[in-house]
Amino acid sequence: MKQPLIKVENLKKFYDQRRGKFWEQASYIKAVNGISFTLYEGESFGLVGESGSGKSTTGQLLVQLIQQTEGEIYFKGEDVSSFSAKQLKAWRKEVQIVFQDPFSSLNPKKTVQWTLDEPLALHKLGDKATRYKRIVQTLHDVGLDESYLSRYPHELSGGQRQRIAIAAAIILKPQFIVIDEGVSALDVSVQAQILNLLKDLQHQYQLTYLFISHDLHVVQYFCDRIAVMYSGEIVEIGETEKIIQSQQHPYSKSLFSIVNH
Amino acid sequence: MNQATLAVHELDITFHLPEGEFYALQDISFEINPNEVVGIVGESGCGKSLTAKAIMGTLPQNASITRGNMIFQNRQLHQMLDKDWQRLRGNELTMIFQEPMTSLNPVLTIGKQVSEVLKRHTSLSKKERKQQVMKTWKKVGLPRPEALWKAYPHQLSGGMRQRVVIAMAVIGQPQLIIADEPTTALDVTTQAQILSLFQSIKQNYNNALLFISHDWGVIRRICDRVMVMYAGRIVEQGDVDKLMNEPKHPYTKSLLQAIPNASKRGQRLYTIPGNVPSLQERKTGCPFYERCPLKMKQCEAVFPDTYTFARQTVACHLFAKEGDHH
Repeated sequence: MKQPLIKVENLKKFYDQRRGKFWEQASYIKAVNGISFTLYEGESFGLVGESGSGKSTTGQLLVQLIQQTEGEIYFKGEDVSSFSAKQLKAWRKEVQIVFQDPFSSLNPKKTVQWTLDEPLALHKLGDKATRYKRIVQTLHDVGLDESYLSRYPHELSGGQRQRIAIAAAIILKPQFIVIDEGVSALDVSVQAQILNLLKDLQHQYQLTYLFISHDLHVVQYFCDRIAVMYSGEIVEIGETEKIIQSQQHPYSKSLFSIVNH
Repeated sequence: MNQATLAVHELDITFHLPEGEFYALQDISFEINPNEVVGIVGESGCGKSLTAKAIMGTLPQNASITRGNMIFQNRQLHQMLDKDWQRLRGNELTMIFQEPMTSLNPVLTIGKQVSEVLKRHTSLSKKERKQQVMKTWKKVGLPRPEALWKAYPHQLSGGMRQRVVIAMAVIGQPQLIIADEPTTALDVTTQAQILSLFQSIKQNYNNALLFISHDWGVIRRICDRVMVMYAGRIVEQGDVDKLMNEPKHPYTKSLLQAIPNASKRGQRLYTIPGNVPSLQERKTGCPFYERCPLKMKQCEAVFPDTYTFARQTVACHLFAKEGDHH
């Protein structure tokens, strides 16, 4: 039986839309409106839905880049919002996020070595020599070598940049990674390489993925379970096989009819 | 036989770089007929967008046409003067880009931007222009035209912005529209809507469409014929269903094999080793040689001729015996 890693209960994220006059009633954009689900250790969980459905907001909430308006996130049974600052910093090692466009998530003025060293230095993990060893090891893990250490982001191809972004995410040996449209901007051939890499790393490090994508082909290939989001809510959730074969909710039906026509 | 809307014949494009002269496109020949949708697929850096730029006459400063010609509606495109281009571009020959936000002016209202096309290319009065714009908006599925007339680009969603750009592209009733990755930045549902819009435009306006994409799913939905480009060459072309069901060129096969889908779950995806060679790395032989799973001795030195099978052509030495040589 698989252990739950992250449990989300009635999670909400509202953005204030109050305009001007203070006596006017506040209105909210309900980006995420009361979702609950459980992620199990070692699984790839897909999140699909159109733009604005709340996929990315959910991803950012799970790694606490933004804070929820309401609801709880439990990581291995512990309520994340009850963490002290110190606990929170320690916890941040365990959860990482990879974005769609590595060009905007990598600092253009810093070398690959700096990018990969920063998280290690920040968490004070070893002296310079051990950190260097870990950086080189991680580069090998993502299919690159030492020759990339002194390169800058603009000297890399799209696929190589995404490998560096993944290296930066796994270097702290996290348990959970959110991949927010992480392969969407890549050519099919490079996309296939990155998907294979993510699968390899999952086995090697026992990673759990939240895989956010608008590309249903990729999600159907990559994920064990899928949740369909629509205007801030999860309208359907289940094993990939079952969701492909028969969708219950009308929105998921129309979504899947587009790809499987 | 109808005359082709656009005929490109043995086109070479050369980049003049400090290190020397490099071919970016080589021996590109194809035709697009009225009412036909032709796709171009291939990885980044294979020359898809450059082909579009060559047709639009917007090549970068350091690139030039060194061989071949392009005939659009009986006019030699590469010999045209700037003032002829101004009449043609945006009117008979239009282009749609990937990111609609970058092709719209953020400080002009939508009404002003779309009607400017008519102001430039027609002698319609202000009132007639507005009528014409609203009629076009209706055709491309844009609701509430009066509100839209005064709106600014940032007030619209991505899908609506792309519809506005499409409206600008079709309003002059062009003979040829070039669409460069027009749905890549959109999510699945909007993408599906925009693709059906392209289909209805074709029926309404009877124009030809050159559709550039790296997404085979999109290509299959919309195109009649498709060209596969690799490192500045067309390596295979044919009817889209036939080509995707029975790809001949090893590059086409590899690309199609790399596409993930539900039935490949749990398996490793096929990947093509290596990268697309850069301009400077390209040699005389077949550019796919280094990465090809079926390479032979002659591939390294000699670029293969093109062989024809019914309506499918392929540039690969593997077919030297089977196909019609030309």
